[in-house]
Amino acid sequence: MKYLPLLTAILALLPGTIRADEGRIAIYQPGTIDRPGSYVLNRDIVVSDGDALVIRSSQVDLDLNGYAIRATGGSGALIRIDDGFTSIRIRNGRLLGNDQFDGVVYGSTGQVPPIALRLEDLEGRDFRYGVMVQSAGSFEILSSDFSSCGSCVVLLSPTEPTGRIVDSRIADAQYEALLLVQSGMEVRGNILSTAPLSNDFVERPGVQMMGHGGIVDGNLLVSIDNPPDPTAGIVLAAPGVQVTNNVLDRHSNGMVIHSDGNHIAGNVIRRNGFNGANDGNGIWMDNLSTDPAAGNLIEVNLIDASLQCALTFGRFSADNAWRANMRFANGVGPVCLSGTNNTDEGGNL
Amino acid sequence: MKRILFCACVSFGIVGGIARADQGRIPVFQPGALTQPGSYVLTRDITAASGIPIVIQASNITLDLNGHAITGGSSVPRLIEIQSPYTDIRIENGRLIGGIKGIHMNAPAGNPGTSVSIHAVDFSDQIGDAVSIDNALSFEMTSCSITNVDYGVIVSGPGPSDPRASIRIVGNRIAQVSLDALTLLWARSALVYGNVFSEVSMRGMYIAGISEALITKNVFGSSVSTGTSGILMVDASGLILDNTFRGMETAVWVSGSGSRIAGNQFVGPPAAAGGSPSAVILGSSGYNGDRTLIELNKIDMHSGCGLRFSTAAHDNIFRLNTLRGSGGLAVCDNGTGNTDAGANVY
Repeated sequence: MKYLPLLTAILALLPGTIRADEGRIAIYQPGTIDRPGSYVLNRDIVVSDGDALVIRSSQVDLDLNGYAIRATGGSGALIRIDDGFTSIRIRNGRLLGNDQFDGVVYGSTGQVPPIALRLEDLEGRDFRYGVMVQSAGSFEILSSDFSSCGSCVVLLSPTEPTGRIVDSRIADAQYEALLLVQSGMEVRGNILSTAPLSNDFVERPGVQMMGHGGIVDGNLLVSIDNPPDPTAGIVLAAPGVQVTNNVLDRHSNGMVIHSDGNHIAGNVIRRNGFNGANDGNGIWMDNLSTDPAAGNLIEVNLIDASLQCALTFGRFSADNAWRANMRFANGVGPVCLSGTNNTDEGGNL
Repeated sequence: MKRILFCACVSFGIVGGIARADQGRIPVFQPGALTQPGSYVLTRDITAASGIPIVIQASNITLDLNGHAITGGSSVPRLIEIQSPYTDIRIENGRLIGGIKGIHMNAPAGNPGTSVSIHAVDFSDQIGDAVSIDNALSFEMTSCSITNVDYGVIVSGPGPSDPRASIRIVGNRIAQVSLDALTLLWARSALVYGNVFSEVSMRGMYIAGISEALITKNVFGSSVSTGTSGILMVDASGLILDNTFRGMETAVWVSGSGSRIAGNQFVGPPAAAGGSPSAVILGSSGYNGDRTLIELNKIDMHSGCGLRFSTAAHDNIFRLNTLRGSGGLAVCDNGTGNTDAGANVY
């Protein structure tokens, strides 16, 4: 009987958080994480409106433990990280939206301090934004699957961090699978697909690189036909990106290059324009009269079955070079050339 | 005091036939069906002489084998069955031994499609297939091991006409397979990266009806040689890059349009093994092999042909390959319009 007060006190803690085994803190309902530590979900969490979990602390490791955080109605974020908190790791479970929810969100504005965020072994679907991060110092998505999103992964960081998205499937994005303003990103070994639904005639990219530097290597990019909405596999809007050894299938234009100093090599780019939308170029390069796309090297690519041209250099492209590419079955021609001082350096087939 | 402890146990949910295991997961400790979404954990080894040990009858299930084994006798049809139309299934972290099949899902045509993920599971000694999944909308297999089976993995999607269907096979080891190690059918895209296929007796990979495949940084090996192939692609295209092939009669056989085969290393079987070895064959009966670029490969076949263009092969190009040491012919061209674009080393 003398233990009754102690047991009563323990039971009184049940509605909040309790210590699971291994000293981790168990989570079993919507709420806020406001202290550093290791947290583990111990059942599915269902939310009908508003944010399911809010992280209001740095140094948080959240193990979903194979469980799901699920939205049944309303809108919000399944996991929202409040401004200014960093060193967050979320892993090992499911995030299930309802098309009105976002998956993982950080930052109320672009001015928030950069976060260090790692997402690993997650499966998520049916979002407006799968992952939306306003500012990151370090950002990783590893071995995860986000699908059926408006935009699956959006990284709007103005800082100079590094990050990587590897070994993942980012699929069926209505707008873009990856929109990366962040510089220095590694995008490797992913399956990326776009499924435009908006009927607004705006080009929908698999990967849009808006931060300079970075590497896009060894990815499979496909688009899901929905004319008249055009798609592109990879869009480069910032300079200095290495785009190698990717396979791109059935986009309106395989790659669209607006920037300078990129290296595009070893890719297979097929069935360009076969999605019923406009265009149909393997690689299309153009920008503005005041800032032409310049200094890009395009080599050793296989560009097959383009309704227009394998390589198209627009009016506002300059000083680009191509060599040792193989181009087959193009409707208009292998190279549609305008612009200034774009040169064939030989060895093309 | 006893009454208080009883009450505490009830409060923590140890009632109703389902006890919460560590970290709140639902323990599985005997054969049965998983009928509710959630996170399950195996808490002991399970051995079955007949029947199906684990049947999955709900979507959104994670099953952590927790390092334990499910073992089946020769009359156990499958160790884990995923029933149709359930989807979003993840199975991880343990061993599946014996039985006729390891993990199996037979979804009828018209099923909305299944998403299955298998991670860090060791399969061994299945009489039939380690893994067979029908109608997979998304299939992922990572960091698994398969040993001593008839077929390793058979995955079929709803067809390339369903553009969402994708397959990822990354970082696995598949060995001692008496028939095909990997069979991938009817999907839009397939990424096969960083796997090791060893002691293959028939085919390392058979890919058919897949629009785009990226097959890179895999190792294929066989000591059987005659009748073996590393990659057989039929009505499929893609990028075959930076793989290593050793000891197979045919390393890569592509019947499709617009592939690039680059940066691979081919070592053929010993000349005494016989057969008709080839590093790369393009085209086959009923299927063209065309518009393929073969470059930057290192080919050392000992006998037969380095590159073989069948009568159905046309308009392919090869360049920058090293074709020394083929023993027979560097290039055997029975097709039309196939071009040596230069810089090959003979």
